[in-house]
Amino acid sequence: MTSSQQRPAWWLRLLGFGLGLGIAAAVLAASSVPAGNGMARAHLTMSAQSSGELAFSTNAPFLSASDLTPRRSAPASGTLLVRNQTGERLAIRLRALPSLPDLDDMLEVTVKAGRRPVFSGHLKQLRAWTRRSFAVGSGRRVALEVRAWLPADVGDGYRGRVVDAPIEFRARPETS
Amino acid sequence: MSSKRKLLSTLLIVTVVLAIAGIGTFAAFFSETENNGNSFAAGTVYLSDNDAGAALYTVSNQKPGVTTEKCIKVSYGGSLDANVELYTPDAIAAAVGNYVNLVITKGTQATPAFPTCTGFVADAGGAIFTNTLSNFAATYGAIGSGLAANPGAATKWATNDSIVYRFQLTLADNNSANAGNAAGYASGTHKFVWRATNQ
Repeated sequence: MTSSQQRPAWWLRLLGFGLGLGIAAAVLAASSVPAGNGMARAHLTMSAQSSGELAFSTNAPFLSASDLTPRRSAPASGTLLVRNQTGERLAIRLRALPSLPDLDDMLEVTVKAGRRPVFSGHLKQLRAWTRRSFAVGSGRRVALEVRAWLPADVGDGYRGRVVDAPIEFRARPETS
Repeated sequence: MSSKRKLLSTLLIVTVVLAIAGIGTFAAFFSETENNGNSFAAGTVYLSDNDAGAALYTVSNQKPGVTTEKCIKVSYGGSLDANVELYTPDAIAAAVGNYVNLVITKGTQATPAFPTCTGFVADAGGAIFTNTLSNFAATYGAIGSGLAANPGAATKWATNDSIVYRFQLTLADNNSANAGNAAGYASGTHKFVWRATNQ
C-alpha cells in the first residue's frame, strides 16, 4: 500500500502559525496580574493609653496617616491635649508601643509638649521612655504634638505596612 | 530500515507510550481551601487612679461634726470587660473607727484634680456606702467581698470607663471618741484598694 501526503500551502501554514501565536498571546495577557500603581503606602495610627494620672482630649487615635511615603512632602501630625488630674505637679515621660517593628528603623518621629521638644528620632528609639520629660501642674493641660514621616532615602520596606503605635505615659510627681 | 534504526524507533515509541501512561496515572483533579491570618493575643485588665501616690485623706485634730470631703478618680484601661470592687485590707482602730461616719458616693467630675471634689456630680441612686469606717472595714475587708460599683447605669467596666468616688468622713459628735488628756484616738493608716476582675 502506498500513500502520498501533500504538504499544505505555505499561506495556510503561515495562517495556522499566526493563529497559534495569537491564542498564546491572548492566554498570557488574560492570566497576567493587573499592574498596580506602584505606590503602596504605610499606615500609622497613634493613640494614648489609659492613665490614671492623666486625662486626654480623645481616646481615639490622635494621629492617623494612611498615606505615608518617602515622597510625601508634609509629615503626618496629630495633637493630643494632656491634662494632669492629680494634685501634684507631674513630670511626664512617654514611649511608643508599636504593634509591629516594620517601621521602627524607617519612621522619623518628633514629639513636642507645648514648645518643649521631648523626642526626636526613629520610632525604634521611642520604644524606650523618653529621656526628656515635660511638666504639667495640677489641673493644667498641655498640647502634645507628634509628627511622623518617612525620609526620602528609605527603601521599599515601608510599603503596605500597617502599624498601630499606642503611646504610654509615665507620670511622677515632680521633685523640686 | 536498518536494525539500529528499528531499535531506536522502538525505544522512542515505548518512551512516548510510557510518558503518556505516566501522565494519565498521576493526573488528578484537586481542590484546596485556606484559612489565613491566624493569630492569638491575650486581653488585658488594667486599673489606675489619679492619686499620684498621695493619700486621699490625712486628717488630724478633727472636730466632731466636721466633714472631710475628698474625691479620687479610678479609670479602667483594660481591653476586657470587668467588674471592679473596693475594699480595705487594713484594720481600723475601733476607738475612732466606730465614730467616723463614712459616706461613699460614685459620680463624675469634668476636670478632676485629686483630691478635690470641685464639680463632682453624683450618679443617680445616691451613696453606695453609708456607715462607719469600722463597718466598712468589717464588711468590705477582703478580695471577693468588696464594694462593687459600675460607671453610671452600666453593668460592667469597659475600656476607658472611669468613676469618681467621693469619700465624706465625719467624726460623730460622741464623747466616746474623746481621748481626754491622752493623745487623740487615731484610726491607724489604712488603704483602699480597687480591684478589677475580667467578666
